[in-house]
Amino acid sequence: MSVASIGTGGGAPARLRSLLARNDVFVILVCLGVVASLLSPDFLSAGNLSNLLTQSALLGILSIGQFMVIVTGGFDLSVAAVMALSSVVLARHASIGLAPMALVSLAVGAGCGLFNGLVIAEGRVQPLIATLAMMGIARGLAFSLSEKSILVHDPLLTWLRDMDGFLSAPTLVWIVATAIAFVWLRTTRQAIHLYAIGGSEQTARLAGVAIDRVKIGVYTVSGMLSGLAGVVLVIRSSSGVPLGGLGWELDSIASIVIGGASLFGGEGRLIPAMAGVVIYQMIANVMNLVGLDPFYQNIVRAAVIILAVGASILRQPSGVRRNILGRP
Amino acid sequence: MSVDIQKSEARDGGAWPLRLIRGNAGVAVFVAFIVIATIVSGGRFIQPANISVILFQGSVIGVLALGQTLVMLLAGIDLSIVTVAILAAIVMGAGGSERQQMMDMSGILPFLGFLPSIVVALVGSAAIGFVNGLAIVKLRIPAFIATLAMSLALSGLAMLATGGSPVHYPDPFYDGFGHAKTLGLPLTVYVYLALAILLAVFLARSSIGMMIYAIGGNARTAALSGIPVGRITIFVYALSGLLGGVAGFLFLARTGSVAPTSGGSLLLNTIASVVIGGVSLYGGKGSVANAVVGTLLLAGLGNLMNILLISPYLQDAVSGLIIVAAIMVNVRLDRG
Repeated sequence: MSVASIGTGGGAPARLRSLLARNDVFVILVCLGVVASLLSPDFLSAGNLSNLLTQSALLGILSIGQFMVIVTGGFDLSVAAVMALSSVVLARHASIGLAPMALVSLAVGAGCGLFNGLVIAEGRVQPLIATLAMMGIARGLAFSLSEKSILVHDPLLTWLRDMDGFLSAPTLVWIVATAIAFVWLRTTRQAIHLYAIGGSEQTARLAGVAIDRVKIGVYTVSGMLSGLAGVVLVIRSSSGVPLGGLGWELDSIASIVIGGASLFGGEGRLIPAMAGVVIYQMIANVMNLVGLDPFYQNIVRAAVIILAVGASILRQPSGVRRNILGRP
Repeated sequence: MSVDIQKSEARDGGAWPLRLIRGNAGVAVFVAFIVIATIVSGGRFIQPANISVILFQGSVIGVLALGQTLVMLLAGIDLSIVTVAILAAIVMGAGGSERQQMMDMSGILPFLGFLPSIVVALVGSAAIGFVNGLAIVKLRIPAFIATLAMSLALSGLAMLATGGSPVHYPDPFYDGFGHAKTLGLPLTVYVYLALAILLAVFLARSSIGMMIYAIGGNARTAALSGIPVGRITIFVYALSGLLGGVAGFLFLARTGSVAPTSGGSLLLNTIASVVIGGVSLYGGKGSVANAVVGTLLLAGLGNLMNILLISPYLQDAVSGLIIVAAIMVNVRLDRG
């Protein structure tokens, strides 16, 4: 795909075709939007679109970190549990003051991520198992802090929630976080190292990339973004939710894969990945609008995940399909 | 088991205490844990009634851990094994009782009859494992992804079959079986122990068992020396699926009800049990004894935390920490 777009030859139709192929995620997004507006006239209303973005924001923020981790060829199964933990920590001590506690929540998330990174890079534990363990740790801690959701009363929260305008506070946070990550991915050397490690860890090591440092960094950032998602969860629902985001770790992986990133690492662009998040939420949104039975919604979700993952595997040349569990 | 011992003796280096621990780390930790737990709980831990409770609670995860051990010996993983168990329990629960049909369910599962529903559930479980194996061997999909996708599909199916509500099994058999005791131990424990012994003998004595270790050690070498790597891999995943089905049976017998969401922390605890026991995630190293020791350790730890009135939620956190610690210790010992 990228080769075709670099070449300057070919007429306008060929260029258009390569443009479409490079941006197939956005084509899918638009097509789905057309289908959705035909299925339900409410879909294109400003209220519903604003709502769709707000619904996507939490998963979107988690998925930024997940995206970076997947680019390095890893996985972070702990994102949703860390988000829940962060939201509970914030809500439980909200009386101290929202701003300082938000920083504490970010630090809790970053700490969980740092732990993941150390266990993976220094302890040589596979990302899948290490972050599965962290999922248990964070979810367990969240529940032992509070078995039920904690409601927070705070004028700042009320103000943030009732903010007028098309873009809600969660959406704004998501957009800002995406913009920062986008610039970082485009301009820094560390970002190139992410792709290098995901492409071939051995080659990256031989080329002098400090693999362990990059890995610890990327899992820490993913944890911090999960912490941020926890703060946004409190903004959106005015409560800390220990059960928040159950199963979202898989949703975020699926969204990113829908957005064209490779499950095998080394490949992917952030903005299409975020479009993948919107597509994923859009499917849920439309199923709600047309009033589909929640049980069939689950089936459709499972089918979408399987299709996305299946397509990602089939896109790989067979030689590249290596064992994801890898060897140390 | 014998393979393991030979290996650890062949490796030299380090003083004899270190060598001894390397070979028998699981047993050493196990004994130490029992002593500590007994002291901390003021002797309550070691009471026969409590030991019976630990075994009873450990039997479901124990059977799941046996299946997981098999695939891990091949350097694989089966993330669908818990959902297989849940779906099998749903089929047995809803398909095995006429009264279930009157309950508020989606009505997709037909009434099969008691024994046929068990047969259908077990054959279905093995078939699911077979499909996992096919996907991994023929389509070259990584085990993690293939079984994760399978797990998602199965939880969708479980939702569809039950409409999301739990299946309460009204048949007296399960109640009777689940709580019947022989020589002071529940019958489910005997099923678990019998399966463990069968599998241990199979792995240590049969030629297929030897081949499984060979493939896990180095798949390419195994293929070059004429071992049918693909066929054995598919067989192992089918066996893992079957064990998942058996675990579903024991789950239903123990609790009398099952919901599509019952899986919860079972997967985490299953992997924790296997890894704590010392089965290597990289294949070729480990035994049924490892899995049994790991299961009992984790079940014992959960029981101890219950006795000490520690929040059940913290137990998941502890399982997570233990997984990480156990793997890191195993990696160090492997290198040493």
